[in-house]
Amino acid sequence: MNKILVVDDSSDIRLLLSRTLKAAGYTVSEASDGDEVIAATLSYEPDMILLDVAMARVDGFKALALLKKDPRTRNIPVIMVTAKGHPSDLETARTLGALDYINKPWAHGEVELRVQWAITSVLRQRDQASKRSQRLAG
Amino acid sequence: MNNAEDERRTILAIGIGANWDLDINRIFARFSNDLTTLIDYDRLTITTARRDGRMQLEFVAGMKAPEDEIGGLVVSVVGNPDGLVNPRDYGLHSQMTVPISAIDGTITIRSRDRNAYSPRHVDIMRQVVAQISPGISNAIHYQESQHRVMERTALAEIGRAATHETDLDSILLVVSGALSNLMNFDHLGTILTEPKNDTATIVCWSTAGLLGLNVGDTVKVDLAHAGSGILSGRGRDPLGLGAEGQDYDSEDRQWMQVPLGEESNPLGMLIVSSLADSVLGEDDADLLQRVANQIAPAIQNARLTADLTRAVEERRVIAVIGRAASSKTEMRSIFSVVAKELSKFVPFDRFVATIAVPDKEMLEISFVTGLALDMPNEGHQIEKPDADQIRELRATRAIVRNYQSVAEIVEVPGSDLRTKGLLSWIQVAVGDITDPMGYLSFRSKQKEAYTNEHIDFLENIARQVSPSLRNAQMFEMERALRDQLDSRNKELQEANAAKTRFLSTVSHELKTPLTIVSGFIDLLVDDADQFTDEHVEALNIMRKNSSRLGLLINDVLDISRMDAGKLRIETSVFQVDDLIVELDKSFEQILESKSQSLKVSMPDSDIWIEADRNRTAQLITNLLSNAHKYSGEKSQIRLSVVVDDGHLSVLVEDEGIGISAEDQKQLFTAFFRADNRVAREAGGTGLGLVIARSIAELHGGDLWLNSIENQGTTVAFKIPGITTEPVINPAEEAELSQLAQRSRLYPDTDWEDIGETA
Repeated sequence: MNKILVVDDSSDIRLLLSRTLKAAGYTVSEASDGDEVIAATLSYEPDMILLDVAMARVDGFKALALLKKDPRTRNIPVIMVTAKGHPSDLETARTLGALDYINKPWAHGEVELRVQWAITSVLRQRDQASKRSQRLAG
Repeated sequence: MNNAEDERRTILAIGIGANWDLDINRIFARFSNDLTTLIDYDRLTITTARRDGRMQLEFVAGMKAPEDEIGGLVVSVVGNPDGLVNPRDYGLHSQMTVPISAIDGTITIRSRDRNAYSPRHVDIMRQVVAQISPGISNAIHYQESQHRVMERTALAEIGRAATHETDLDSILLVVSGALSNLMNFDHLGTILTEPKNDTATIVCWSTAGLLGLNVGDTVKVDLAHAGSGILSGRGRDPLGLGAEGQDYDSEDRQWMQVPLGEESNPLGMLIVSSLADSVLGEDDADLLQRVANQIAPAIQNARLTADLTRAVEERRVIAVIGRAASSKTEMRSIFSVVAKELSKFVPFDRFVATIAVPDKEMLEISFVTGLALDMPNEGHQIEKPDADQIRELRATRAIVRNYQSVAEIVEVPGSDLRTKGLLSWIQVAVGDITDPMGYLSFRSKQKEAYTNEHIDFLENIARQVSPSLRNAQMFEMERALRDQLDSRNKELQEANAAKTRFLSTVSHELKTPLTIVSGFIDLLVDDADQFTDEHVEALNIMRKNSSRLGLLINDVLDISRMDAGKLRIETSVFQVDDLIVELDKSFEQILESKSQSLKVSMPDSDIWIEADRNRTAQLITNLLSNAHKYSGEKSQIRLSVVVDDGHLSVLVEDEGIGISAEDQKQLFTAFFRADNRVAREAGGTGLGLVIARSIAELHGGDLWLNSIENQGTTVAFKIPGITTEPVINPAEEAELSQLAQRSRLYPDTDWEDIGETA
């Protein structure tokens, strides 16, 4: 069972995402601000992180940068969630290493689909990478 | 020895001595010496008659008296032709005088002896005089001819100068030099009349400050009545210059003046004066007149040349000012040119230009240069000239004030014209004299600085600059108006930008709560089997309306992006027919709610286009949704797709309520909705068509509408970009199908375009 970490400063959004993902069969943990991300990630060890952009203390981009800087959290796929975004924000997210992006309000079923796609694509990449390294080793 | 024979020989010898000498003084000296062998005397004098009849002492031998002055006048008393008032005081008791006709004079001898002279002595004396007379005559003629040669040389020199020199100073310098050899004067001067005034200017004065006047000074003079000739005696007003009763005190004792040119209307006067009495004679007056006649034409020419040069220069300045003025659009720059160029011709210490303030009885000071005064300055408004001044202006073309003294200056209230000693003032009108658009005003410390010439000149200038000033005034008014409009425009732009920011911020703030509401509704719908039918119905209504709210927020965001010029399209190559099929399918349920049918007609072949797929979908959705909203139950909606000349055209026709001609005019105004019941019930923001057209235009296409009220509406758009099916390698295809699947699932969500305005 895949573990998802939901990071958002709105408790309602956290509850909504939590329920939505749990209904889709995921295990969910929550964090309420960017500055909790590293600690939460290290203790929870999620398979993927849903990260809100606009948060009160440390925003999503900073949190994303922290995650990608730390070798222990670097490889965990991150999907950004926002109501507000600019093409340059999308670019920032991609550059910082986010895998995908969900706009508020999302459509029925969109969150589950994107999370699933993100996890499978990461798994497929890891699979291919390990096959490549096996080929190289062999 | 025969005394008589000796006597005769001596007399002849004296005559011979006189005959071969050409120097009259030497003749007199030899004669006085030789005479002693014939007649004894203690004193011998020779006098000659001057033109005025008075006697002049020419020669003295033997005893000299203190009053003797060679060349001086002999105070002739009866019996004392040599001027000795009381000969007995000198012990002279005998006297004999004989005329000497060759020089129109007399020879007088005196002796201390009583009764020294007898008639025989007189006879001898007459014989001697008769002997020396031809020699004296010769000598005199010779001297006169010498003088005439010098005169002629001087006149020739003056004539040459008059021909070659063009400026008065040079000519008069030559006159002064040439005359000094011929005439015994101490001062030489010239005054020239001002052509348009009854004043004269001192042009040349061999001694500065003579008569208290300097070169360049202007004096009031009535030359026609000044007369000519020699005036003797120290006193006031020797030249008749003092028309104003001024006292020209002078050390000079003798004055002589002759007119230059015509006597009745002279160009001026040539004047010489002497510190001594009785040195200037009629000969000198004749000579002076000849000199005056010699130089008068040259002075006339020089004056004409100067006038001409000045006239040409005036024309040039007027042209320069006119040209410069016409190239300027600022009144200040025009006046600045005027001030710079004028200064050569119009003396001023202060120049002020005023312009009438439109619709006000005031003048605005638009330019000030020169002396700083405690007076209203640039930018201030002052009263227009009063009725009297206007009358004066019309009558004399200018207001001119020439004050003789500081005390006379009429002060402008609160100013310091007196302290600054601005004695002259001239003001001319710019533009129509009955209603001037402004005034040029000059003040000078110089006394009587402004003449009729200045009026002429300034009038010309005023005429030259008035069209340019009028233009500049219009331009400045227009610019003020434009500035006003610009700032109003800027305010409006800022207000609009604020509105755009507000819309954007609010829309984003709405998104999070909307997400929460719709998200939980979705969760409830997923558990629909736990609810009653009424609950499910309510959930579906909530869901439908939250979805509509989401669309409205997106519309508002699109409009604010449009306003900010940030609505963008991201093109990719996609299949139009696929998109149409998809939309047809997604509208099925919506159309069913009003039992409407959608008839789609499009080419059989695949249609590929390079465009923004989401935006194109949004565009078609908008047209279909309008057709659905504004059409009645069971009506038919037709969607036609046409490919022509590389363009895709999509037409959506309905049989709905249509749009009135009046409403069509405002259809593409944001937030406009036709004011009718159907429109109100249909809801919406009135943004759909505006965004739709903007999307078509961003693709380089167009959107148009044709509607007849109560019959139906046709909306169509046409965009370029028709292309062929792209060649894709299999690896990319897998990725693309994944993406395509996502976008197809959620056509309303523009997750590729998260363009933001805030």
